Amino acid sequence: MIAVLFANDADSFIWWDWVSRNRDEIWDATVEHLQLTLLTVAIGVVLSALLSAVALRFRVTATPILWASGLVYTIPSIALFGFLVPRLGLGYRTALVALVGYTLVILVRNMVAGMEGVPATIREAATAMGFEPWRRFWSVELPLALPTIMAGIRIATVGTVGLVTISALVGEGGYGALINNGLSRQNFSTPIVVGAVLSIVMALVLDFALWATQRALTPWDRATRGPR
Amino acid sequence: MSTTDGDAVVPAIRLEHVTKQYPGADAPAVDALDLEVPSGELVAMVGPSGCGKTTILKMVNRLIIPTSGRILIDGVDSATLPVHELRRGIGYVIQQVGLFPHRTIRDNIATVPALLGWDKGRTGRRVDELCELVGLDPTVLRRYPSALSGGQQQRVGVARALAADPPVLLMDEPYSAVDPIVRGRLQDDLIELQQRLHKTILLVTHDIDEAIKVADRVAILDVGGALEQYCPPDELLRAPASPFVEHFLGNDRALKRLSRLTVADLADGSLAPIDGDPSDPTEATAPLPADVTLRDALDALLGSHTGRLEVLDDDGRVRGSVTVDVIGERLR
Repeated sequence: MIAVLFANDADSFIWWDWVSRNRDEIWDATVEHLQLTLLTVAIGVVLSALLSAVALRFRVTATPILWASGLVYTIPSIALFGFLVPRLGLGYRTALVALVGYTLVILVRNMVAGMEGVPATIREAATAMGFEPWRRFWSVELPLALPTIMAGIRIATVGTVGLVTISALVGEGGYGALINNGLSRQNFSTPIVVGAVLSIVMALVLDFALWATQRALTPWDRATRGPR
Repeated sequence: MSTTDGDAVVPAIRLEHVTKQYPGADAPAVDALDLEVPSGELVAMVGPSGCGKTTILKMVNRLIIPTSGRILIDGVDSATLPVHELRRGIGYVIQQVGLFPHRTIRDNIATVPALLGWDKGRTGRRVDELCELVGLDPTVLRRYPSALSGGQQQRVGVARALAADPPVLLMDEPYSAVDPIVRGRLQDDLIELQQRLHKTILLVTHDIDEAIKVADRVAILDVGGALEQYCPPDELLRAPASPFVEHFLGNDRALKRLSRLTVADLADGSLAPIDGDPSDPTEATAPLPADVTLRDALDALLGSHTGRLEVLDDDGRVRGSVTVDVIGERLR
Protein backbone atom coordinates (compact mmCIF):
# COMPACT_ATOMS: atom_id res chain seq x y z
CA MET A 1 0.00 0.00 0.00
CA ILE A 2 2.89 2.34 0.72
CA ALA A 3 4.40 1.42 -2.64
CA VAL A 4 1.15 2.26 -4.43
CA LEU A 5 0.89 5.57 -2.67
CA PHE A 6 4.44 6.44 -3.57
CA ALA A 7 4.03 5.52 -7.20
CA ASN A 8 0.91 7.64 -7.48
CA ASP A 9 2.21 10.57 -5.55
CA ALA A 10 0.62 13.40 -7.48
CA ASP A 11 3.11 15.92 -6.12
CA SER A 12 6.15 14.05 -7.39
CA PHE A 13 8.37 16.32 -9.46
CA ILE A 14 8.85 13.82 -12.23
CA TRP A 15 7.13 10.58 -12.88
CA TRP A 16 9.50 8.23 -14.69
CA ASP A 17 6.73 5.79 -15.35
CA TRP A 18 4.98 8.39 -17.51
CA VAL A 19 8.19 9.14 -19.34
CA SER A 20 8.76 5.52 -20.33
CA ARG A 21 5.13 5.07 -21.37
CA ASN A 22 5.26 8.17 -23.56
CA ARG A 23 8.67 7.63 -25.10
CA ASP A 24 7.28 7.78 -28.64
CA GLU A 25 5.45 11.00 -28.00
CA ILE A 26 8.59 12.59 -26.52
CA TRP A 27 10.68 11.45 -29.49
CA ASP A 28 8.14 12.89 -31.95
CA ALA A 29 8.16 16.16 -30.04
CA THR A 30 11.96 16.23 -30.20
CA VAL A 31 12.01 15.71 -33.97
CA GLU A 32 9.31 18.32 -34.49
CA HIS A 33 11.04 20.81 -32.22
CA LEU A 34 14.37 20.34 -33.94
CA GLN A 35 12.89 20.57 -37.44
CA LEU A 36 10.98 23.72 -36.67
CA THR A 37 14.05 25.30 -35.09
CA LEU A 38 16.43 24.44 -37.92
CA LEU A 39 13.98 25.45 -40.63
CA THR A 40 13.29 28.74 -38.84
CA VAL A 41 16.97 29.58 -38.53
CA ALA A 42 17.72 28.51 -42.11
CA ILE A 43 14.97 30.68 -43.55
CA GLY A 44 15.90 33.48 -41.15
CA VAL A 45 19.53 33.39 -42.32
CA VAL A 46 18.60 33.50 -46.01
CA LEU A 47 16.06 36.27 -45.51
CA SER A 48 18.42 38.27 -43.30
CA ALA A 49 21.24 37.88 -45.79
CA LEU A 50 19.02 39.39 -48.47
CA LEU A 51 17.91 42.22 -46.18
CA SER A 52 21.50 42.86 -45.10
CA ALA A 53 22.68 42.92 -48.70
CA VAL A 54 20.05 45.55 -49.50
CA ALA A 55 20.93 47.55 -46.37
CA LEU A 56 24.67 47.49 -47.18
CA ARG A 57 24.22 48.22 -50.85
CA PHE A 58 21.68 50.99 -50.52
CA ARG A 59 22.70 52.83 -47.37
CA VAL A 60 19.44 54.77 -47.05
CA THR A 61 17.55 51.51 -46.51
CA ALA A 62 19.75 50.39 -43.61
CA THR A 63 17.94 52.34 -40.89
CA PRO A 64 14.40 51.40 -42.01
CA ILE A 65 15.36 47.72 -42.34
CA LEU A 66 16.93 47.58 -38.88
CA TRP A 67 14.05 49.56 -37.44
CA ALA A 68 11.39 47.32 -39.00
CA SER A 69 13.08 44.09 -37.93
CA GLY A 70 13.38 45.52 -34.43
CA LEU A 71 9.68 46.39 -34.45
CA VAL A 72 8.70 42.82 -35.33
CA TYR A 73 10.73 41.67 -32.34
CA THR A 74 8.73 43.87 -29.98
CA ILE A 75 5.37 42.32 -30.91
CA PRO A 76 4.26 39.95 -28.14
CA SER A 77 4.20 36.43 -29.54
CA ILE A 78 0.64 35.75 -28.46
CA ALA A 79 -0.53 38.87 -30.28
CA LEU A 80 1.46 37.91 -33.38
CA PHE A 81 -0.13 34.46 -33.46
CA GLY A 82 -3.50 36.08 -32.98
CA PHE A 83 -2.80 38.28 -35.96
CA LEU A 84 -1.50 35.46 -38.18
CA VAL A 85 -4.03 32.69 -37.44
CA PRO A 86 -6.96 34.32 -39.30
CA ARG A 87 -4.70 34.75 -42.32
CA LEU A 88 -2.62 31.58 -42.37
CA GLY A 89 -4.68 29.25 -40.19
CA LEU A 90 -3.55 27.10 -37.32
CA GLY A 91 -0.40 25.13 -37.87
CA TYR A 92 3.04 25.00 -39.34
CA ARG A 93 2.93 28.03 -41.62
CA THR A 94 1.79 30.40 -38.89
CA ALA A 95 4.39 29.06 -36.47
CA LEU A 96 7.14 29.37 -39.06
CA VAL A 97 6.30 32.92 -40.12
CA ALA A 98 6.22 34.14 -36.53
CA LEU A 99 9.42 32.36 -35.53
CA VAL A 100 11.34 33.58 -38.58
CA GLY A 101 10.15 37.11 -37.87
CA TYR A 102 11.71 37.03 -34.44
CA THR A 103 15.13 35.94 -35.76
CA LEU A 104 15.47 38.82 -38.22
CA VAL A 105 16.49 41.57 -35.85
CA ILE A 106 19.44 39.67 -34.41
CA LEU A 107 20.58 38.17 -37.68
CA VAL A 108 20.36 41.36 -39.75
CA ARG A 109 22.07 43.43 -37.06
CA ASN A 110 24.97 41.00 -36.78
CA MET A 111 25.34 40.53 -40.52
CA VAL A 112 25.46 44.28 -41.12
CA ALA A 113 27.81 44.81 -38.16
CA GLY A 114 30.02 41.95 -39.33
CA MET A 115 30.39 43.35 -42.82
CA GLU A 116 30.93 46.87 -41.56
CA GLY A 117 33.56 45.53 -39.18
CA VAL A 118 35.82 44.43 -42.04
CA PRO A 119 38.68 46.97 -41.85
CA ALA A 120 38.64 49.43 -44.74
CA THR A 121 42.38 48.96 -45.28
CA ILE A 122 41.95 45.23 -45.80
CA ARG A 123 39.09 45.76 -48.21
CA GLU A 124 41.20 48.30 -50.09
CA ALA A 125 44.23 46.01 -50.14
CA ALA A 126 42.06 43.28 -51.67
CA THR A 127 40.70 45.65 -54.29
CA ALA A 128 44.16 46.96 -55.13
CA MET A 129 45.43 43.41 -55.51
CA GLY A 130 42.89 42.79 -58.26
CA PHE A 131 40.00 40.97 -56.58
CA GLU A 132 36.71 41.34 -58.44
CA PRO A 133 33.96 42.52 -56.03
CA TRP A 134 32.24 39.11 -55.87
CA ARG A 135 35.47 37.24 -55.25
CA ARG A 136 36.48 39.78 -52.66
CA PHE A 137 33.19 39.19 -50.86
CA TRP A 138 33.58 35.41 -50.72
CA SER A 139 37.27 35.16 -49.97
CA VAL A 140 37.93 38.23 -47.84
CA GLU A 141 34.88 40.03 -46.49
CA LEU A 142 32.66 37.09 -45.60
CA PRO A 143 35.36 35.12 -43.75
CA LEU A 144 36.26 38.21 -41.73
CA ALA A 145 32.61 38.96 -40.92
CA LEU A 146 31.95 35.33 -39.99
CA PRO A 147 32.66 35.49 -36.23
CA THR A 148 30.10 38.29 -35.81
CA ILE A 149 27.57 36.62 -38.10
CA MET A 150 27.97 33.28 -36.30
CA ALA A 151 27.47 35.02 -32.94
CA GLY A 152 24.11 36.26 -34.28
CA ILE A 153 23.15 32.82 -35.55
CA ARG A 154 23.91 31.31 -32.13
CA ILE A 155 21.72 33.81 -30.30
CA ALA A 156 18.93 33.43 -32.86
CA THR A 157 19.08 29.62 -32.60
CA VAL A 158 18.95 29.52 -28.82
CA GLY A 159 16.11 32.03 -28.82
CA THR A 160 14.20 30.06 -31.41
CA VAL A 161 14.47 26.80 -29.45
CA GLY A 162 12.73 28.57 -26.57
CA LEU A 163 10.13 30.27 -28.74
CA VAL A 164 9.12 27.08 -30.55
CA THR A 165 7.37 25.96 -27.36
CA ILE A 166 5.05 28.99 -27.65
CA SER A 167 3.94 27.81 -31.07
CA ALA A 168 2.00 25.08 -29.24
CA LEU A 169 -0.66 27.79 -29.15
CA VAL A 170 -1.25 27.31 -32.87
CA GLY A 171 -1.07 23.53 -32.71
CA GLU A 172 2.66 23.04 -33.27
CA GLY A 173 5.32 23.42 -30.68
CA GLY A 174 7.40 20.25 -30.26
CA TYR A 175 8.18 20.26 -26.55
CA GLY A 176 5.60 23.02 -26.24
CA ALA A 177 2.91 20.43 -26.86
CA LEU A 178 4.21 18.42 -23.91
CA ILE A 179 4.26 21.49 -21.70
CA ASN A 180 0.75 22.37 -22.81
CA ASN A 181 -0.34 18.86 -21.97
CA GLY A 182 1.06 19.26 -18.46
CA LEU A 183 -0.56 22.65 -17.98
CA SER A 184 -3.99 21.24 -18.89
CA ARG A 185 -3.81 18.67 -16.10
CA GLN A 186 -3.96 19.38 -12.44
CA ASN A 187 -1.21 18.31 -10.09
CA PHE A 188 0.78 16.56 -12.76
CA SER A 189 3.99 18.39 -13.59
CA THR A 190 5.93 15.63 -15.35
CA PRO A 191 5.24 16.67 -19.00
CA ILE A 192 6.12 20.28 -18.13
CA VAL A 193 9.41 19.26 -16.58
CA VAL A 194 10.28 16.92 -19.44
CA GLY A 195 9.41 19.51 -22.09
CA ALA A 196 11.30 22.32 -20.37
CA VAL A 197 14.41 20.31 -19.58
CA LEU A 198 14.67 18.82 -23.06
CA SER A 199 14.16 22.27 -24.61
CA ILE A 200 17.05 23.64 -22.54
CA VAL A 201 19.23 20.66 -23.45
CA MET A 202 18.46 21.15 -27.15
CA ALA A 203 19.37 24.85 -26.92
CA LEU A 204 22.69 24.00 -25.24
CA VAL A 205 23.52 21.24 -27.72
CA LEU A 206 22.79 23.44 -30.76
CA ASP A 207 24.74 26.32 -29.26
CA PHE A 208 27.72 24.06 -28.69
CA ALA A 209 27.47 22.64 -32.22
CA LEU A 210 27.46 26.14 -33.71
CA TRP A 211 30.36 27.20 -31.51
CA ALA A 212 32.36 24.18 -32.67
CA THR A 213 31.47 24.94 -36.30
CA GLN A 214 32.62 28.51 -35.95
CA ARG A 215 35.87 27.42 -34.35
CA ALA A 216 36.54 25.07 -37.23
CA LEU A 217 35.70 27.74 -39.81
CA THR A 218 37.77 30.53 -38.24
CA PRO A 219 41.11 29.08 -37.16
CA TRP A 220 42.77 32.52 -37.39
CA ASP A 221 40.40 33.91 -34.77
CA ARG A 222 41.83 31.44 -32.28
CA ALA A 223 45.37 32.36 -33.30
CA THR A 224 44.53 35.99 -32.61
CA ARG A 225 43.01 35.51 -29.19
CA GLY A 226 44.76 32.46 -27.85
CA PRO A 227 48.26 32.46 -26.40
CA ARG A 228 51.00 32.13 -28.98
CA MET B 1 65.24 48.16 -67.89
CA SER B 2 63.62 50.89 -69.95
CA THR B 3 61.35 50.09 -72.80
CA THR B 4 62.58 51.75 -75.94
CA ASP B 5 60.22 52.76 -78.66
CA GLY B 6 62.40 53.94 -81.49
CA ASP B 7 64.56 56.61 -79.94
CA ALA B 8 62.09 57.73 -77.28
CA VAL B 9 62.19 56.02 -73.90
CA VAL B 10 58.69 55.29 -72.69
CA PRO B 11 58.32 56.12 -68.99
CA ALA B 12 56.83 53.33 -66.89
CA ILE B 13 54.24 55.71 -65.45
CA ARG B 14 53.20 58.94 -67.11
CA LEU B 15 50.57 61.32 -65.78
CA GLU B 16 49.18 63.71 -68.39
CA HIS B 17 47.27 66.71 -67.07
CA VAL B 18 45.69 64.63 -64.35
CA THR B 19 43.06 66.37 -62.22
CA LYS B 20 41.06 65.00 -59.33
CA GLN B 21 38.17 67.04 -58.07
CA TYR B 22 36.37 65.40 -55.13
CA PRO B 23 32.64 66.10 -55.01
CA GLY B 24 31.88 68.95 -52.65
CA ALA B 25 35.50 70.13 -52.34
CA ASP B 26 36.24 73.76 -53.18
CA ALA B 27 39.54 73.14 -54.91
CA PRO B 28 40.81 70.09 -56.79
CA ALA B 29 42.95 67.69 -54.76
CA VAL B 30 45.24 67.36 -57.77
CA ASP B 31 45.23 70.01 -60.47
CA ALA B 32 46.44 69.28 -64.02
CA LEU B 33 49.51 67.35 -62.90
CA ASP B 34 52.12 66.15 -65.36
CA LEU B 35 54.61 63.64 -64.01
CA GLU B 36 56.81 60.96 -65.51
CA VAL B 37 58.29 58.08 -63.57
CA PRO B 38 61.17 56.61 -65.58
CA SER B 39 61.31 52.85 -65.87
CA GLY B 40 63.39 51.18 -63.16
CA GLU B 41 63.56 54.23 -60.90
CA LEU B 42 62.34 54.77 -57.38
CA VAL B 43 60.41 58.02 -57.17
CA ALA B 44 59.28 59.40 -53.82
CA MET B 45 56.40 61.86 -53.56
CA VAL B 46 56.66 64.07 -50.50
CA GLY B 47 54.51 66.89 -49.25
CA PRO B 48 52.33 68.14 -46.43
CA SER B 49 48.92 66.56 -45.84
CA GLY B 50 46.46 67.77 -48.43
CA CYS B 51 49.05 67.82 -51.19
CA GLY B 52 47.27 64.98 -52.94
CA LYS B 53 50.15 62.53 -52.87
CA THR B 54 48.05 59.54 -51.84
CA THR B 55 45.35 60.53 -54.32
CA ILE B 56 47.98 60.54 -57.09
CA LEU B 57 49.20 57.11 -56.04
CA LYS B 58 45.71 55.63 -55.94
CA MET B 59 44.88 57.03 -59.35
CA VAL B 60 47.70 54.95 -60.82
CA ASN B 61 45.96 51.66 -59.94
CA ARG B 62 42.52 53.22 -60.36
CA LEU B 63 41.44 52.92 -56.73
CA ILE B 64 40.57 56.55 -57.43
CA ILE B 65 39.37 57.56 -60.88
CA PRO B 66 40.81 60.85 -62.20
CA THR B 67 38.29 63.56 -63.03
CA SER B 68 40.26 64.35 -66.17
CA GLY B 69 43.60 63.61 -67.77
CA ARG B 70 45.29 60.35 -68.68
CA ILE B 71 47.60 57.95 -66.90
CA LEU B 72 49.81 55.82 -69.11
CA ILE B 73 51.41 52.64 -67.83
CA ASP B 74 54.23 51.59 -70.16
CA GLY B 75 52.71 53.84 -72.79
CA VAL B 76 49.20 52.37 -72.52
CA ASP B 77 46.29 54.44 -71.23
CA SER B 78 45.36 52.66 -67.99
CA ALA B 79 41.67 53.49 -68.50
CA THR B 80 41.64 51.18 -71.51
CA LEU B 81 42.82 48.14 -69.53
CA PRO B 82 40.44 45.86 -67.58
CA VAL B 83 40.78 47.22 -64.06
CA HIS B 84 41.44 43.86 -62.34
CA GLU B 85 44.16 42.95 -64.79
CA LEU B 86 45.73 46.38 -64.42
CA ARG B 87 45.83 45.99 -60.63
CA ARG B 88 47.24 42.47 -60.71
CA GLY B 89 50.16 43.90 -62.66
CA ILE B 90 50.89 46.64 -60.09
CA GLY B 91 52.25 45.76 -56.65
CA TYR B 92 50.69 47.70 -53.79
CA VAL B 93 52.11 48.20 -50.29
CA ILE B 94 50.28 50.27 -47.68
CA GLN B 95 51.07 51.71 -44.29
CA GLN B 96 48.69 49.50 -42.32
CA VAL B 97 50.09 46.59 -44.37
CA GLY B 98 46.55 45.27 -44.87
CA LEU B 99 47.48 41.60 -44.65
CA PHE B 100 44.47 39.29 -44.70
CA PRO B 101 44.13 38.21 -41.04
CA HIS B 102 42.27 35.02 -41.96
CA ARG B 103 44.96 33.74 -44.27
CA THR B 104 48.32 32.26 -43.40
CA ILE B 105 51.45 34.16 -44.38
CA ARG B 106 51.97 31.73 -47.25
CA ASP B 107 48.46 32.35 -48.59
CA ASN B 108 48.83 36.10 -48.11
CA ILE B 109 51.99 36.16 -50.21
CA ALA B 110 50.35 33.93 -52.82
CA THR B 111 47.32 36.24 -53.22
CA VAL B 112 48.00 37.56 -56.70
CA PRO B 113 49.39 34.25 -58.05
CA ALA B 114 46.12 32.67 -56.87
CA LEU B 115 44.11 35.35 -58.68
CA LEU B 116 46.19 34.72 -61.79
CA GLY B 117 45.57 31.00 -61.51
CA TRP B 118 49.17 29.82 -61.08
CA ASP B 119 49.57 26.14 -60.27
CA LYS B 120 50.70 24.95 -56.83
CA GLY B 121 54.28 24.14 -57.76
CA ARG B 122 54.98 27.49 -59.39
CA THR B 123 53.35 29.39 -56.52
CA GLY B 124 55.27 27.40 -53.91
CA ARG B 125 58.61 28.02 -55.58
CA ARG B 126 57.83 31.71 -55.91
CA VAL B 127 56.85 32.03 -52.23
CA ASP B 128 60.13 30.43 -51.15
CA GLU B 129 62.04 32.74 -53.46
CA LEU B 130 60.26 35.80 -52.03
CA CYS B 131 61.02 34.78 -48.46
CA GLU B 132 64.68 34.81 -49.29
CA LEU B 133 64.35 38.08 -51.20
CA VAL B 134 62.68 40.08 -48.43
CA GLY B 135 64.47 38.35 -45.55
CA LEU B 136 61.59 36.39 -44.10
CA ASP B 137 62.12 33.26 -42.03
CA PRO B 138 60.20 30.48 -43.86
CA THR B 139 58.93 29.08 -40.55
CA VAL B 140 56.46 31.98 -40.33
CA LEU B 141 54.70 30.86 -43.51
CA ARG B 142 52.25 28.64 -41.65
CA ARG B 143 51.34 31.36 -39.15
CA TYR B 144 48.65 34.00 -39.27
CA PRO B 145 49.56 37.71 -39.56
CA SER B 146 48.59 38.48 -35.96
CA ALA B 147 51.50 36.34 -34.75
CA LEU B 148 54.09 38.53 -36.52
CA SER B 149 55.82 41.73 -35.46
CA GLY B 150 55.17 44.99 -37.31
CA GLY B 151 58.47 44.77 -39.19
CA GLN B 152 57.83 41.17 -40.24
CA GLN B 153 54.33 42.06 -41.38
CA GLN B 154 55.73 44.86 -43.52
CA ARG B 155 58.16 42.39 -45.12
CA VAL B 156 55.25 40.07 -45.87
CA GLY B 157 53.43 43.06 -47.37
CA VAL B 158 56.35 43.69 -49.71
CA ALA B 159 56.61 39.99 -50.60
CA ARG B 160 52.88 39.92 -51.36
CA ALA B 161 53.20 42.99 -53.60
CA LEU B 162 56.13 41.43 -55.49
CA ALA B 163 54.59 37.96 -55.78
CA ALA B 164 53.65 38.02 -59.45
CA ASP B 165 56.78 40.02 -60.32
CA PRO B 166 54.96 43.21 -61.36
CA PRO B 167 57.11 45.80 -63.13
CA VAL B 168 55.51 48.62 -61.14
CA LEU B 169 55.22 48.93 -57.36
CA LEU B 170 53.17 51.51 -55.46
CA MET B 171 54.02 52.15 -51.81
CA ASP B 172 51.81 54.31 -49.61
CA GLU B 173 53.69 55.43 -46.48
CA PRO B 174 55.02 51.90 -46.14
CA TYR B 175 57.15 52.44 -43.06
CA SER B 176 55.33 55.05 -41.00
CA ALA B 177 53.69 52.49 -38.70
CA VAL B 178 56.93 50.88 -37.48
CA ASP B 179 59.42 52.17 -34.94
CA PRO B 180 62.44 54.21 -36.16
CA ILE B 181 65.00 51.40 -35.81
CA VAL B 182 62.92 48.92 -37.78
CA ARG B 183 62.07 51.67 -40.27
CA GLY B 184 65.74 52.33 -40.93
CA ARG B 185 66.38 48.65 -41.53
CA LEU B 186 63.38 48.30 -43.85
CA GLN B 187 64.58 51.34 -45.81
CA ASP B 188 68.01 49.75 -46.20
CA ASP B 189 66.32 46.56 -47.37
CA LEU B 190 64.29 48.50 -49.92
CA ILE B 191 67.43 50.12 -51.35
CA GLU B 192 69.12 46.74 -51.60
CA LEU B 193 66.01 45.13 -53.10
CA GLN B 194 65.79 47.88 -55.69
CA GLN B 195 69.44 47.41 -56.66
CA ARG B 196 68.63 43.78 -57.44
CA LEU B 197 65.19 44.13 -59.01
CA HIS B 198 65.10 47.54 -60.73
CA LYS B 199 61.36 47.90 -60.35
CA THR B 200 59.60 51.12 -61.13
CA ILE B 201 58.55 52.25 -57.68
CA LEU B 202 56.31 55.17 -56.79
CA LEU B 203 56.49 55.79 -53.04
CA VAL B 204 54.47 58.23 -50.97
CA THR B 205 55.88 59.53 -47.71
CA HIS B 206 55.58 62.55 -45.45
CA ASP B 207 59.16 61.98 -44.27
CA ILE B 208 61.61 64.00 -46.36
CA ASP B 209 64.57 62.12 -44.89
CA GLU B 210 63.07 58.83 -46.03
CA ALA B 211 62.56 60.25 -49.53
CA ILE B 212 66.13 61.52 -49.71
CA LYS B 213 67.49 58.23 -48.43
CA VAL B 214 65.69 55.78 -50.69
CA ALA B 215 64.68 57.64 -53.86
CA ASP B 216 66.36 58.16 -57.22
CA ARG B 217 64.11 61.19 -57.70
CA VAL B 218 62.00 63.18 -55.30
CA ALA B 219 58.77 64.98 -56.20
CA ILE B 220 57.92 67.74 -53.74
CA LEU B 221 54.24 68.58 -53.78
CA ASP B 222 52.34 71.47 -52.27
CA VAL B 223 48.64 71.62 -51.40
CA GLY B 224 46.46 70.98 -54.44
CA GLY B 225 48.93 68.59 -56.03
CA ALA B 226 51.20 71.40 -57.22
CA LEU B 227 54.56 69.93 -58.24
CA GLU B 228 57.13 72.26 -56.68
CA GLN B 229 60.26 70.41 -57.69
CA TYR B 230 61.08 67.06 -59.24
CA CYS B 231 64.70 66.00 -59.38
CA PRO B 232 67.34 63.69 -57.85
CA PRO B 233 67.82 64.20 -54.08
CA ASP B 234 71.26 65.75 -54.36
CA GLU B 235 70.05 68.42 -56.76
CA LEU B 236 67.08 69.07 -54.52
CA LEU B 237 69.32 69.66 -51.53
CA ARG B 238 71.82 71.75 -53.49
CA ALA B 239 69.33 73.94 -55.28
CA PRO B 240 65.83 74.07 -53.82
CA ALA B 241 63.55 75.62 -56.46
CA SER B 242 61.38 77.69 -54.13
CA PRO B 243 61.11 78.95 -50.55
CA PHE B 244 58.47 76.27 -50.00
CA VAL B 245 60.91 73.51 -50.93
CA GLU B 246 63.67 75.14 -48.90
CA HIS B 247 61.44 75.30 -45.85
CA PHE B 248 60.27 71.73 -46.40
CA LEU B 249 63.82 70.43 -46.58
CA GLY B 250 64.74 71.98 -43.22
CA ASN B 251 67.88 73.69 -41.98
CA ASP B 252 70.34 70.84 -42.27
CA ARG B 253 70.46 70.54 -46.05
CA ALA B 254 74.25 70.42 -46.18
CA LEU B 255 74.37 67.62 -43.62
CA LYS B 256 71.62 65.74 -45.47
CA ARG B 257 73.71 65.97 -48.62
CA LEU B 258 76.76 64.69 -46.78
CA SER B 259 74.84 61.70 -45.50
CA ARG B 260 74.10 60.70 -49.11
CA LEU B 261 77.75 60.82 -50.14
CA THR B 262 80.60 58.52 -49.14
CA VAL B 263 84.33 58.91 -48.98
CA ALA B 264 84.47 57.11 -52.33
CA ASP B 265 82.61 60.08 -53.91
CA LEU B 266 85.60 62.36 -53.24
CA ALA B 267 87.67 62.81 -56.42
CA ASP B 268 91.33 61.82 -56.13
CA GLY B 269 92.41 65.33 -57.15
CA SER B 270 90.46 66.92 -54.34
CA LEU B 271 92.18 64.97 -51.60
CA ALA B 272 95.01 66.42 -49.56
CA PRO B 273 98.36 64.64 -49.84
CA ILE B 274 99.36 62.05 -47.31
CA ASP B 275 101.84 63.60 -44.95
CA GLY B 276 103.29 62.79 -41.61
CA ASP B 277 104.66 59.48 -40.52
CA PRO B 278 101.95 56.79 -40.42
CA SER B 279 103.84 55.03 -37.66
CA ASP B 280 103.83 58.17 -35.50
CA PRO B 281 101.48 57.30 -32.59
CA THR B 282 100.03 60.83 -32.51
CA GLU B 283 98.86 60.35 -36.11
CA ALA B 284 97.47 56.88 -35.53
CA THR B 285 93.81 57.73 -35.98
CA ALA B 286 92.03 54.93 -37.86
CA PRO B 287 91.73 55.64 -41.63
CA LEU B 288 88.26 55.96 -43.17
CA PRO B 289 87.03 53.03 -45.30
CA ALA B 290 85.49 53.84 -48.70
CA ASP B 291 81.89 53.32 -47.62
CA VAL B 292 81.90 55.84 -44.74
CA THR B 293 79.44 58.68 -45.38
CA LEU B 294 80.88 62.17 -45.62
CA ARG B 295 78.64 63.12 -42.71
CA ASP B 296 80.38 60.54 -40.52
CA ALA B 297 83.74 61.56 -41.97
CA LEU B 298 83.05 65.16 -40.97
CA ASP B 299 82.08 64.02 -37.50
CA ALA B 300 85.34 62.07 -37.22
CA LEU B 301 87.35 65.07 -38.45
CA LEU B 302 85.77 67.41 -35.93
CA GLY B 303 86.66 64.94 -33.22
CA SER B 304 90.25 64.40 -34.30
CA HIS B 305 93.06 66.67 -33.12
CA THR B 306 94.98 66.65 -36.40
CA GLY B 307 92.02 67.80 -38.55
CA ARG B 308 93.17 65.34 -41.19
CA LEU B 309 92.28 61.68 -41.78
CA GLU B 310 93.48 59.13 -44.29
CA VAL B 311 90.90 57.67 -46.67
CA LEU B 312 90.99 54.21 -48.17
CA ASP B 313 89.80 52.90 -51.52
CA ASP B 314 87.64 49.80 -52.02
CA ASP B 315 90.69 47.57 -51.71
CA GLY B 316 91.81 49.18 -48.47
CA ARG B 317 94.71 51.17 -49.97
CA VAL B 318 95.33 54.72 -48.76
CA ARG B 319 94.17 57.23 -51.40
CA GLY B 320 95.05 60.45 -49.60
CA SER B 321 93.81 62.57 -46.72
CA VAL B 322 90.57 64.34 -46.11
CA THR B 323 90.04 67.62 -44.27
CA VAL B 324 87.02 69.76 -43.44
CA ASP B 325 87.89 71.94 -46.43
CA VAL B 326 87.93 68.96 -48.79
CA ILE B 327 84.43 68.01 -47.67
CA GLY B 328 83.22 71.60 -47.93
CA GLU B 329 84.63 71.77 -51.47
CA ARG B 330 82.65 68.66 -52.46
CA LEU B 331 79.36 70.41 -51.66
CA ARG B 332 80.10 73.47 -53.74
